[in-house]
Amino acid sequence: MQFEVLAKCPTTQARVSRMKLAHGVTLLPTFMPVATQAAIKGLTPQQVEALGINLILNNTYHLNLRPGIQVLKEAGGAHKFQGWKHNLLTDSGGFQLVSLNKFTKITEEGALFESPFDGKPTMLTPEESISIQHAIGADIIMQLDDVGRAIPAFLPDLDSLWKAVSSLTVGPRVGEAMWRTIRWLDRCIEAHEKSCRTDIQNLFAIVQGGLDPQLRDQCLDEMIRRKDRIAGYAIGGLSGGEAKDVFWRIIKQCADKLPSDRPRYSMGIGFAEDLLVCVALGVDMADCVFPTRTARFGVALTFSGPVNLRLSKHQADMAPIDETCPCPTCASRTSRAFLHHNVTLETATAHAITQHNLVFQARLMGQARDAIINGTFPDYLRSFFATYFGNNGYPEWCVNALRSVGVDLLEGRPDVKILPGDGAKWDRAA
Amino acid sequence: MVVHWYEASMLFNPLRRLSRASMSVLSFALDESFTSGQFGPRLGKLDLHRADGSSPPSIRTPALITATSRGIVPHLSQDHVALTKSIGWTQIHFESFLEQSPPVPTLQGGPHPLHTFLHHRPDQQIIALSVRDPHDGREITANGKDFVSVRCVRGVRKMTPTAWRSYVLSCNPDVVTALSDIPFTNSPQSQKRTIKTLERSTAWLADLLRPIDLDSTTSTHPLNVLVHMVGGTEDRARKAFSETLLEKLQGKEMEVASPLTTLDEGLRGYVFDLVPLRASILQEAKGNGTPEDTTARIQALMDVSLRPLPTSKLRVVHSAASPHEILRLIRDVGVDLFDARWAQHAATLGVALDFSFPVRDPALLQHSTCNGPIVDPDGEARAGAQLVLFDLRT
Repeated sequence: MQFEVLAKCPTTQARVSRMKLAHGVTLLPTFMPVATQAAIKGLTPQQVEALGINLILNNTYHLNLRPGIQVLKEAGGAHKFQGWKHNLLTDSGGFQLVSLNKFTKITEEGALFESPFDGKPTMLTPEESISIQHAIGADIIMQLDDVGRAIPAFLPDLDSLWKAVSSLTVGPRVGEAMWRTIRWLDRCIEAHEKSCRTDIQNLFAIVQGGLDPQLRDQCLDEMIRRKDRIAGYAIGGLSGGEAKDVFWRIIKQCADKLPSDRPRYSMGIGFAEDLLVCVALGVDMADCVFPTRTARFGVALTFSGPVNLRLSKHQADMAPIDETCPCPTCASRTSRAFLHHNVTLETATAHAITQHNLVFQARLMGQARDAIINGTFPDYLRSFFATYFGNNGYPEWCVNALRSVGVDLLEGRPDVKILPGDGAKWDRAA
Repeated sequence: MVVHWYEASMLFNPLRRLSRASMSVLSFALDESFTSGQFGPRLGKLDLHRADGSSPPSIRTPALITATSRGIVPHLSQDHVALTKSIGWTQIHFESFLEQSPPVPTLQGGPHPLHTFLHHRPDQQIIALSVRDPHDGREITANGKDFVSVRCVRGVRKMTPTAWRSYVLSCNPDVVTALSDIPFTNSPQSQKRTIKTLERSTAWLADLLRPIDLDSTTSTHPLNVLVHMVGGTEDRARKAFSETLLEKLQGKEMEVASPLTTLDEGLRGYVFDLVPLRASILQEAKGNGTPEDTTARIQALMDVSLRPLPTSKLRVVHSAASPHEILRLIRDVGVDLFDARWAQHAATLGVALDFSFPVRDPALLQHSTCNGPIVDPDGEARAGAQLVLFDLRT
């Protein structure tokens, strides 16, 4: 990897950088769409490429189960398998093991789980995870980490999962997981260096430590000591339902300490406000299923907030989602009324909204990059928040987080409401 | 900009939409050197001439119709639809739009509201509008004297001839199928029911064929109208319906439909929906206890309907069950348009079609008793699916 910082924001910790990988250059900060099973659902790789995207995620857990390593090797790797010519990042498979599998037991050796297809007990070790990622052939690969959650029973909905997980991010298990993650990092580094693939695949470490600043600090120190054998750092163990006001402080702590000549990746971040805050705190990349998943569920993302196309207030609206958006859907002036008619009922409409949401994420980050280069990033933040949240009110945690890097969101808007909690904006019925 | 429904109903004046400039004329010409009488394989050329110049390419027949769901080609995103030249004649059914009142495409505006609303390209696609999905054979509330029962996601709605005519005029499809009374309840129908079918279908066709006053003093009839050949499995009913189309209009009917002297004069072609027809045939066969070659029965019924009528008009079949049925109907009846729903549905199920026609594998050909293919002398690749004519008569 060639990594070069091109510009720094004079106020915040944001920076624009250029990352050159085996499958091309990606400018940072960027948002990475998730192609869970080797595809962005509903779109061909040509369509994704046409939206200007050049770095996407694949999930090791899913690809390992299906189609499996043998098929991937025969296909010549995941790029060829899915027809994607640009950059790929794979996660280690660790998170899905814990979130998707009923009985996952973490031991020092690895993660022991039941195959969802045949129930066979299967062990995912750090070495095995790296080996699978080698077969996949992604440009960036992730260490296998111990995410620090206790074995979850199968939880029927996201809410219960979040509640269960938030209560498990403090305590001795978290410390144990953090130290194990460091030992697994060493094993991953060994396995990767032995393969002689270090020039084409770049290994990232994942900082753990739950919500405990001390544990985080220890983890940071250890991982930074291994800097010369690591291409980049991810900040893991977050986006699991913890309070946003705690989340940003951990991001900040990690970003402040991590070396500036390595990319920083916050895993599982996708909301627009979250992304911009992370960028302001010094993060370079993020991934999330949110924009593509919410598209399939009928919600289009805009700079004025999300638009829930299922609501009847859109049924006769002949305007496109966003008059200024260059995505194929808006550029052809596909009306909200038309999308409303078919949303959640026709796959083609899911595709149309997916294309729009991916372009929204790309515009969000592209405009951020431009603003950082021009030295106007604080203005961009202020105008984004004003337009996006309007009179709804700003999430308090965003105000706090940006204040910590020298941006006062309330400047010029003294009577804007401040909302406690996550303060996320939703489109409601008229 | 949101248009509330009550404002919309004030905008909803069909005569404001339709102008001479946005009208289109469908013409169909048989290639005389490749026709074999009234019933037999035939080649033809379909053209839609739009007054505003956005005419799509000619369609060489036999050709395929693209089936749609809720107005769009299933699964294909717009940019992909725009990339292909294979989507020409596009069959749209209006019923899903009855989920809102007024139906949203009627609020679109512009010269081609239906094309615009659904993002179909007037310079590439002919939109043929019917009220019901030809492939939906589910049982539904019976039709009435003045309405067809139609299905949308919110349940069954009633479509009256008056409403149909005004929706058609607001949306400006290129081709429109008249309302027909096709029962979706158990076959065979009683004679009384069959008579009702014929009377209603005739009356509803006449209503659609009433002239439209445009911006000039002479009333003309610019719609391109198709009609379902009704009559179920009853030969006599089918024959009677066809003969009614050819009867000289008299009295009040003549005044209403003027300048047409027969209903057939106002028609561009004839449609056969095979889903209800096949269901009726199978029910009859069950009653008799005899197995059916349903394709042969379909062909015989189509013959009865088409025999009295001009050979030169367009013949459309929806929901052919297989490529074999398509080939037989081309050979034995002379059908010009078939829908590709079978193939589109295969794709939905994850089945890729990898057969080819004509068969070129020598191992298979050596067992064939057929003649070789007739070569199209100008050798042009045909738009849409590659259908090659085989002379299977001997």
